[in-house]
Amino acid sequence: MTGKKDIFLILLLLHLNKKVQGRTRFQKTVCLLKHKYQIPFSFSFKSYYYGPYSEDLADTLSLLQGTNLIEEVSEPLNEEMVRYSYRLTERGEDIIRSTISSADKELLTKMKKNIEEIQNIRTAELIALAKKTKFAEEARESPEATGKT
Amino acid sequence: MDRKHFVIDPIHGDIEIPHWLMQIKDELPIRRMNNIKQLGLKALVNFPGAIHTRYLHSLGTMYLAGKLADLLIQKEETKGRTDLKKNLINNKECLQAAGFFHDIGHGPFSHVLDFVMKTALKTDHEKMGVKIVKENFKDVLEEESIPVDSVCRIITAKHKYPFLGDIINNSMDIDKVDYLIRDSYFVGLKYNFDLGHFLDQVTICGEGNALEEYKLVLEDTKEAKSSIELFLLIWKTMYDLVYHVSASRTAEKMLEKAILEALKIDKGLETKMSDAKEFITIDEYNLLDQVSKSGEFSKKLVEMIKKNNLYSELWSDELREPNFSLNERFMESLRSVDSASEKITHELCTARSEPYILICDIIRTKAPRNILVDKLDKEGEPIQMESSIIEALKKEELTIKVYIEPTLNKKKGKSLAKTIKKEVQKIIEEWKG
Repeated sequence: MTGKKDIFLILLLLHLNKKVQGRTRFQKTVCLLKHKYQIPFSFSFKSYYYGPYSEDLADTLSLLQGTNLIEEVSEPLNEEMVRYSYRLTERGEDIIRSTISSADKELLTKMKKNIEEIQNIRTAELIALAKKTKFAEEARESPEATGKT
Repeated sequence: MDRKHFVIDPIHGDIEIPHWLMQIKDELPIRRMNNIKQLGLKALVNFPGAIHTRYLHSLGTMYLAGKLADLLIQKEETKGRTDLKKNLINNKECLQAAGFFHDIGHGPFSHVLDFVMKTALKTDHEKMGVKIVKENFKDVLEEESIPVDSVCRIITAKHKYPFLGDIINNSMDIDKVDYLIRDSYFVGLKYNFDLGHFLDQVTICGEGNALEEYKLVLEDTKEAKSSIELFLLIWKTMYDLVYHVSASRTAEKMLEKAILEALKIDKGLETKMSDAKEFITIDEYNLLDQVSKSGEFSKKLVEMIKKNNLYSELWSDELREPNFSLNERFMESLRSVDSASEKITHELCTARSEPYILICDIIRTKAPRNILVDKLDKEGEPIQMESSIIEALKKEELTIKVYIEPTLNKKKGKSLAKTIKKEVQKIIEEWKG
């Protein structure tokens, strides 16, 4: 499992999950995959508005959209709100299919199982779970800012 | 009571200089910002009016940080969030200091040094800035009850309370507000919007005692939507017409290569640029001199820039599927576009046995994202500002260009232009790493 880079793992995640609904959901899914299930993403997360968030992950998703390998689709949730989902483009799907090798079988099986578990969790619970991961311990151990209040 | 001190700024009018800044304003790290132009080589190439400095932008950002803090405090008068109000009042000067110091670690010619600092010197302007502030101004700030760690954490967006960092370093921070208005004024485009109205649309979203979860957002109003749309349109236009404009971008890449080559020869320059104490002695004037003295190639490039004898754009294309066959190894390298373009440059030049006779440049245009409004979703999903304009502008653009040395361009430009795309496609397709 070592040596796999983030782009490969994101494409693999979308290959296995077909569509991840919601920008927040994507962030928390990757956080759980990394910290709970030990999938070797290198993104580092920090505490943000709705739990762990990685600027580097958001940046990488933006890069993959810009180069036409994944697409962001908007779906109206109700009259006022829209949810953004990610999925692979045809070319993104081609790339991941041609990149997966037999050596990835173990990773593939493991990620598939992990993703199935995550898919059954509601977003609010997913956020709570992500907050409880090792990420949270790391955040607590970091030196406190000396704000005046 | 001490007399108040002001400076006059072409953008914001009178700016009050706080007591802590009065004590240090003539010290070297701060005076140096007067010798670093905000837009670097753009003044020499495309925009002769763009001679405004990092110092002026720093004053403007400090002013806006104070103004926004006052507006947010005022809004809290009626909201009953006493802890938040107290926090803002206590941190107002911290925010002003962070606004003033946020760019103090920039090298001469501003973003020209970004890649050099990252690769050759293993640092960046934020880390360098934090070192400079801590080494030089800790005592002065803390005598005025401004904790230097707090200032640095706001600058690097790592503060315990994210809404404070967001004011200086996030999607719609006041750093961007100041540089967009200031840069457009000095280049002569004069794009503008009503600052008071814009800042009045900013608020803090959150409830309860956990200030750690509070966030800087926009009001959920049509006025806020119009304001942010205008802000982003100006942002996009400034990137297209100013920051990424071809000729000065070429000059910037030439200077970057001149410095990289100089660093290979001149270890003294490397030491000078790596050490925070030495770094503060480097400004635009002495850097060009020093680079010119560090090898014939660097000297030649600097002379060419001074005479406006620049490389020409040989070829340009959108870097995306299906124009290029992108594999995951190359995509991984694109997370640092400057490193990827340096590697392509190297391969193009190795084939011709002459360093930097061609220069590859990959330009990534990323609009600010995470524009949030003051509204909570039942599922805990952050509510993004809903706007077709914002969505359209968020789409990332990647452009790849190759610049060519003028003599080679005269001799072989036409024939090379035809083959260069194929060469670049092959390099990308067979990407190693």
